[in-house]
Amino acid sequence: MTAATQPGTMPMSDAAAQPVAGKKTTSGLMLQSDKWQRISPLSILYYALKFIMAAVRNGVQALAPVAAVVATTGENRWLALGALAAVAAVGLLIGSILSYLNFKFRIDHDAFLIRSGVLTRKRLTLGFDRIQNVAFREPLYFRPFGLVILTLESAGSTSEEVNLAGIPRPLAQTIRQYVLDRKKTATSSPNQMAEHQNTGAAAEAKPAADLLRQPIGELARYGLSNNNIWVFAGITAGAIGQLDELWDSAFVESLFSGVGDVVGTGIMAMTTLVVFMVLVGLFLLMGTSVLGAIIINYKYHLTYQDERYHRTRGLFERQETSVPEVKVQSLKIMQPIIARLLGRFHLVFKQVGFEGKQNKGNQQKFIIPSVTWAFTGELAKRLFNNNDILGARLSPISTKFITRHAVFSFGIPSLLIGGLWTIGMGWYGLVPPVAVVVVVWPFIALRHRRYGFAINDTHAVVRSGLLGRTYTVFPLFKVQTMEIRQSPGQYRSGFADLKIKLAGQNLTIPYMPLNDARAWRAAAMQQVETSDTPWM
Amino acid sequence: MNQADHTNNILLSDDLPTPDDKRFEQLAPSYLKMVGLEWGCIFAVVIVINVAVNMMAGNSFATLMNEGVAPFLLGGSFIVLILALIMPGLMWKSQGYQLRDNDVHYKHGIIWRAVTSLPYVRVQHVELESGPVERLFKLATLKFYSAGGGSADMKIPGLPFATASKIRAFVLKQAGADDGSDPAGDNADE
Repeated sequence: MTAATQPGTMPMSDAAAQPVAGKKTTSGLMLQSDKWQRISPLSILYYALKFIMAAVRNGVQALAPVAAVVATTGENRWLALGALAAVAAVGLLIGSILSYLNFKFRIDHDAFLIRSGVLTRKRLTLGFDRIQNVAFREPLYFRPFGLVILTLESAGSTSEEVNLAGIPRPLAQTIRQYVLDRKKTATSSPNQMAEHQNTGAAAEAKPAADLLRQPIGELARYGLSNNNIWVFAGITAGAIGQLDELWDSAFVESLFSGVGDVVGTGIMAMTTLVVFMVLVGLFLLMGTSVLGAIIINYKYHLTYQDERYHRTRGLFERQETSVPEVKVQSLKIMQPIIARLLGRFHLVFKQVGFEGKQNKGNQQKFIIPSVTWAFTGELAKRLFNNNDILGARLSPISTKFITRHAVFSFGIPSLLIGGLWTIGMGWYGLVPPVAVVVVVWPFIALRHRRYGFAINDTHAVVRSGLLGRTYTVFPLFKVQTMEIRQSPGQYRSGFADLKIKLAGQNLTIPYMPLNDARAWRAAAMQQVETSDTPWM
Repeated sequence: MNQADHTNNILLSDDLPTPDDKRFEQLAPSYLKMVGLEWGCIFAVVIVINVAVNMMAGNSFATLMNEGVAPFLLGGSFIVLILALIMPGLMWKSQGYQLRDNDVHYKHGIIWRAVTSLPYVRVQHVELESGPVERLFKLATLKFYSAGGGSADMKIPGLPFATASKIRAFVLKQAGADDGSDPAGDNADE
């Protein structure tokens, strides 16, 4: 179906009353049926691995029984451990087999029906209109058998996410096509739907547009420059810091004295050593990050077809993810500081989601790694109806932002805290607070400079950042709510903070002129209230 | 609906050609009483705890005076008293709502003034809430939820029961007006 066939809308109930399109699919597999269907027996392997992964993730708790056995058995320790392992293995096998036997699915009109669960039986009805993404994953052990894991991600919560582990690839493809077609017909007019039924599967004749293939070099750049590296570094540093026992141990002491013997104990030698160690650590981190980026994004391929973006990637586990164009709430363009040096941007299609939601891993984030500004501009145009908002000149926010944060966020707090510490120091007590403000000033100024905003009739862009930069581009009609907030100072000087809530994220433009904030609000409200394009 | 027929008149106020942040409807006067009662209770609790703690410690007023603690205690109580007296009025004055054909606005905040705006078509559901104290004053709080957030996007407190249900019915009607564009969520079963 082409983009032109989207004007009318109709209520869901009418669509459901229409006869169901094509009962039997091209591959001869039953899609619509009253019978519950099973997934491949190989999914036992999938469940077993899943259980093991869950056990590993729970880590310490999972090892508690083992520790208990070791502590209580004494002489027969190995025998007991062996027995425990055997019991665990049998339990795993039975659990996996039961999981497989109890998992059944069928498609009924416009909903997916799932039955699953061993101890707790679960029945789930997932309406097609609520399916956000249809993704494939192809783990190594499914590849020889042509099986995939089909993941249906719902817009609601993760508890409604469905994994069909181990169905043949053609069936998965048919299901995806079917789900996406049904979603579309549900929002098209009856005429177009009839037409669609006549033409059947042949309707998707439009060839896929090949947008991007990422070679390993680009993936390495992504690994070097994405921000995960610093998150990981933080976690590692925290973990090492936690190991008090290690630092106090005789081992480290002897290590340091040994090193001291070799390089000498002079300040220069020690400094060199520390710098060297930090560099080695950094190198290891970057190496890990690059390796991870390559493994996850290996043979990254992005295409566009039938109003949705399609991504394939992965070395050990091939992942195929589709995102319908309408589901994209905003385009986030990130350029961390290292990416800036490399001249690259990392893009994310932001979708509906709750902040801080668990299990919202990398897999679900639709990232387009390491692309140029030119590519970004073209993708934004494709995504946003040829709108050239990214080419717009960004307005700066007020410099009052700098003084405000220097005084209220850092100056006064450090004065209050410092005041307690430096009571006996007289006027010298003012030195630390002043020093704090002097140190943070350039950073606040930098943050101020990163902020920028631009709007046209239908779209808007907000830029922010500190060392790196982040652009968020969104169509105005996808705004959920807006808030204009003024502190007493802003009230006097005619500035305001504008908070924009999109379905996937919140944006704030601090210290923008009040009139601009009002114009943004008016434009967004007008677009939301007049647009009849579905926003999700 | 297309862009040309887009009108967005103020609904419950006089005919205003443009939306104006100054034309907001006040919350119910009994809400002022309710907030006043709440702050009064806070004041009472602070005083009672203060007195109780000092009595239990066996400090007479004279010893407190001598130790120089009393000025702080009195000062603290005085500040709370002033707050209890002026806060409810300031709060009540700062809050207000504006219903229009296509969106609802709510202003709040004494020091940081904020106006939140929510178009009806983005309302996912509306909750009418009335706690024990609110019921005493025959008041209710309206909570509006949009997509992709756990907490309410807009809360309008201090509405008389009848007004609150009237507004809810109106907003739901407006929200459902072009439901075809968003079939998600509304009639889906769990």
